[in-house]
Amino acid sequence: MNSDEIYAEVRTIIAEILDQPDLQISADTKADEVEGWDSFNHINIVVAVEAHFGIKINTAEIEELRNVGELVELIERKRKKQKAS
Amino acid sequence: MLFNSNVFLFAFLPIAILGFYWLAQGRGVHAAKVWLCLASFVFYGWWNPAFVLLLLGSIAFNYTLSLRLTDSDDDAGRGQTLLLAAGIAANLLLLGYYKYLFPLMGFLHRLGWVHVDFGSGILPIGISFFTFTQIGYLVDCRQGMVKERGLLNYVLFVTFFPHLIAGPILHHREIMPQFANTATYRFKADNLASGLTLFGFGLIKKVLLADQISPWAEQGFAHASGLALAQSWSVALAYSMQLYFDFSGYSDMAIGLGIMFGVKLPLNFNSPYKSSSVIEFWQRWHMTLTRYLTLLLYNPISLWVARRRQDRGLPSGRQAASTLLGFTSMIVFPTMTTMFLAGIWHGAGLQFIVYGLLFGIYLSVNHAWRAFYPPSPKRPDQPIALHLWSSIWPVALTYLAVLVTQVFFRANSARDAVELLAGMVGANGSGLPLPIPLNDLKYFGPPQHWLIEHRLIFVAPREVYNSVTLPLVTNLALALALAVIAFGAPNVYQIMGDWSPALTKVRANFKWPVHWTPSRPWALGIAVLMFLACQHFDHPARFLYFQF
Repeated sequence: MNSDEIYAEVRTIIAEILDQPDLQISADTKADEVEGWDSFNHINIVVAVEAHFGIKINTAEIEELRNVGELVELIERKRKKQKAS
Repeated sequence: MLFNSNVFLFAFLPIAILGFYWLAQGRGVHAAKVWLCLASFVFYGWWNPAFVLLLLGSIAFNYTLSLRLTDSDDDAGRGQTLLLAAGIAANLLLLGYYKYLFPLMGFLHRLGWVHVDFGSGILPIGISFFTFTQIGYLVDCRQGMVKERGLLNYVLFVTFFPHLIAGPILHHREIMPQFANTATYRFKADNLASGLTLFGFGLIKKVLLADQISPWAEQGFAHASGLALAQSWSVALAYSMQLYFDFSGYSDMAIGLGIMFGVKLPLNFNSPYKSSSVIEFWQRWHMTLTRYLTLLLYNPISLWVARRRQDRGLPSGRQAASTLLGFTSMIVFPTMTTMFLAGIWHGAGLQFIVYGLLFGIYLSVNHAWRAFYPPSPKRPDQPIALHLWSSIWPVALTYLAVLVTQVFFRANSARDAVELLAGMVGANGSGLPLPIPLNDLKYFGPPQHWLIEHRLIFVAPREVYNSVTLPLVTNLALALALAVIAFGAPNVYQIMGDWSPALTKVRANFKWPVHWTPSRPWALGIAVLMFLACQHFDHPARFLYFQF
């Protein structure tokens, strides 16, 4: 799965959690720019992403994420690491 | 050593700054770091030299542990998690020993379960703060998030004297890179100017505002039962204002001192009393504690709950949170747990538990309000009166809710707090009529007859007036004047704008007409006020947050 595909799936997950099917986001989108993306939904997005991609994200990594692009990068990195091990 | 003392301001600080930049220029960055560490230990040991050993021991233990935690590549290792758990437990045990053992033993002694009276132990100053900072560092080491690992930078991160005793609670990621950067050690006149200004503002808040109202609060809480309506409100308001100006003043001074050494510290207060909800209040009050609790308690608990729900196939997200069960498990549980722990962190005693739980309930109600009654968009054609009302009542309600928690926070016991709150709802009468000396009646003019007739004032000897009316009216007026500043004035970070030396910039949705610049008139004005503040150094008062 390449980063574009991961990105598309992440977008679907975020749209589903925020209950906004037509959500428009880009790699540069930050949480506070999207309505309803508060700290509570942030946790839910992370957990949904974990379940979907079969990875585990720790609390410090969640805090480090600055935008959607970084979330996609993190997923990619984790998946590669998982495959390698 | 207190920031508001002659020895700090006229001996320690100038020597520390001069030595720091002189060494940085002549002997290099390493020497300046060592100097700053030594200065910080002197600052800490000034109060009780023996506790320097405790601080050193804590740093040595945590740093050694951090090396073990970052040493291994096996980042999923169970052993590492156990090591981290043991490290956190050791830190909490140390904190528990100093903070809770003696009060607990005293409590058991009063119950008659323990026969020896342990008395009260001495709490090493700042122990909560340096313990918290280091626990945060260990957790990040375990999670592989620590990049800067030098010993000297670590010691500086923990001991840097501006934040050592009462915060702001730092995160290593924002501080250790600053200590590692050589640009930090280059003298900049602007840093000294903005640092001194912020320090000056903080000193004024502490000495000229908080300390002026504190005797009234202290006296009121010492005799909290039986106070009449006006008295109990004046006492609660006085303490509320004292706490804000004391602690935010301390934080301003700390951030100001930080930038004098080229280091930017995070913002800790952003006009909290102007908040229009309790959620917002915690985003603006003791902000670094909120951040710390969110990172180390709230988020991990929420994550744990959300993962469990995911595993069981339960829905997540906004919709799930609007069911009673979903809301309780995903929001109420993490919030109440976090605030309960925040409460007992502040001290051993039922009043601190109530303080935490009250905030837990407030925050849960606030979240519920958001989930079940989403805000309706503001209509531009709203009449001004309605617009004013809709912006004032949330602030007033939030402040009132906060004020109730502060009564618990300050009271000597939960029972005292309830007594004072009872006074505030009129359980002990209104406190009227107020005694007025016969000779002073003329100041009231013709309405005096109406006031006497309606039992608002009565004629009494001057001694009675001096002991009842005068202190009540002056302190109530002082508390209200402070409230005008807290609710109405821009904060120092808004006044300083782009010159603000805090790490976080304050978002300004309104351009304040007054702006600080490094100029002679500002320097002169602040110098005069600082000079006035220095006149009160004969009886320097400790900062309220030193007890935590």
